[in-house]
Amino acid sequence: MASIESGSGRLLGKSAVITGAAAGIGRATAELFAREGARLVLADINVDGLSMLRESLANVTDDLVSVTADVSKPEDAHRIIDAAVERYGRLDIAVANAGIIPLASVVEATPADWDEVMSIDGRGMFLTCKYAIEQMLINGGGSIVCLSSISGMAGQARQSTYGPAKFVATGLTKHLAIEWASRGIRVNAVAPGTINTERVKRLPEEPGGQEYLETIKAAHPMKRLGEPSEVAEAILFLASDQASFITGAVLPVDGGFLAQ
Amino acid sequence: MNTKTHQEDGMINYELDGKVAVITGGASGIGLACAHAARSGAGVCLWDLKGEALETAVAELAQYGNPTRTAIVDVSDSDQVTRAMEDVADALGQVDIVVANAGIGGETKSTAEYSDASWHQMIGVNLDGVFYTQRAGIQAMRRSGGGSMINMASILGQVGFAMSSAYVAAKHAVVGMTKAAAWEHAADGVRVNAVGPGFIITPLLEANLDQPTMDFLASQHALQRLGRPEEVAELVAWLASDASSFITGAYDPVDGGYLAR
Repeated sequence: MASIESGSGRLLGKSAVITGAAAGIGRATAELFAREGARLVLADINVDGLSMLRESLANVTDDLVSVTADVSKPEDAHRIIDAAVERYGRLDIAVANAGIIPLASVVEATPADWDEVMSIDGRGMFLTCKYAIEQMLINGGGSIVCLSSISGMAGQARQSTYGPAKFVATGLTKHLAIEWASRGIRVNAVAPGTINTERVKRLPEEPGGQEYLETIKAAHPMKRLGEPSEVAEAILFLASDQASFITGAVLPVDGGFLAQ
Repeated sequence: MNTKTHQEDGMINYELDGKVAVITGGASGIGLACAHAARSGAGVCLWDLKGEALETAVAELAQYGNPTRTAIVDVSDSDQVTRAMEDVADALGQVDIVVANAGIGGETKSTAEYSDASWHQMIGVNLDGVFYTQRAGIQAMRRSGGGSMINMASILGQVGFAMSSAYVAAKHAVVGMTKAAAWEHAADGVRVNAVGPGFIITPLLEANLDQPTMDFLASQHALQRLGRPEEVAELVAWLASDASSFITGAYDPVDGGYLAR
């Protein structure tokens, strides 16, 4: 078995798919899951990002398959789940994280923008969950964590396409949790606040980006953005057996944003 | 570098070494399960009404090698709570984690039939008790440079339930207090969260309910069973740890999908 740096083996032997693994929260989750002994399938549309992640995890684990895929396409989404079955014989955990985060008011957004977000963030999450669940039924159970958001619980300006897609994530989580609870499959979501990802770090370059950042920090009681690793920890907890009585939950990881 | 190991009994090490944790209602049920979960290094202080139950709990926790302190505290008494928290801070130098778990089940009567006495007793323990514990806990943790406050709410802090109006009211209030305190004390480094268990198999439940009722309650959870105290304790220990560092003001369900429907 490959050596594992730190970690307490909380996912030892579990096979886990993470979509959107190349950057941000997905990447932080991949790193944490690797340290906790998971056998990974890492999927993203970004080939270069995936190979950089692969390299950085080379000293942590040998149990890693990377898959270049677009979750919004059924055949690609299926390929991701198939990779876990081919390599590890089973699928225990799926983290449906892949998504784009466009900022646009309803006046700025075009019909094509709506279709794009709903295709990747909406249908892509649905397909990931669908194929994961179909496989987990063969295993006899499993655990899914979807990425919702504070934007999937409450409204904000300039998220007229992304926000609704996150309500879809919240909805998928609750409906799938109820549908499959009796078959040993738990489905939960994390609802991150604004997280200090590569995408967010580039915000000051966009029109209105700096002001948005300052406003949003002030709206979190902790007066700071979250780190991707902090969201990864919550995903780990929900995915693990320690959360055995938790399903259909949407866990805010938002520095208190939703508390008022 | 800390070597963390997956404990042999399957319990996770949440890296609570050197931290001081106060657990009210700690002698049995969920409170005692939290003490088990916290023992991966935390100095645990159990508060309860019953001295004998506390002694039994201490004996049970002795296996972990960390001394467990106890105090007989009626959480509905403001002065007792204040003094007990001061005692902990004086003796151990700090308070890092406070779990406001003490609670009673209360009378089963409809709203139209509920007595003043029953109402006030319930509010006294399940609401005032949490208020006193939270206030004293936050003061102590603030002086310690920060910490994690965990309030035991319930699914009934989000929805109603027949014949339990006082309990429902108290638990709803606990959720509200949690969110207010989270906003107020984030700058002090204190996180404040609420845990929302579904129906959990505890001495409290088994003493009060017959099997058909327990079976009915199980059926109301998506997972078709009642929860175990350890399952709640895992979430509490995780919220006590730094792994939940960006989580505050949250209501975190551990309810087998009860609220997802």
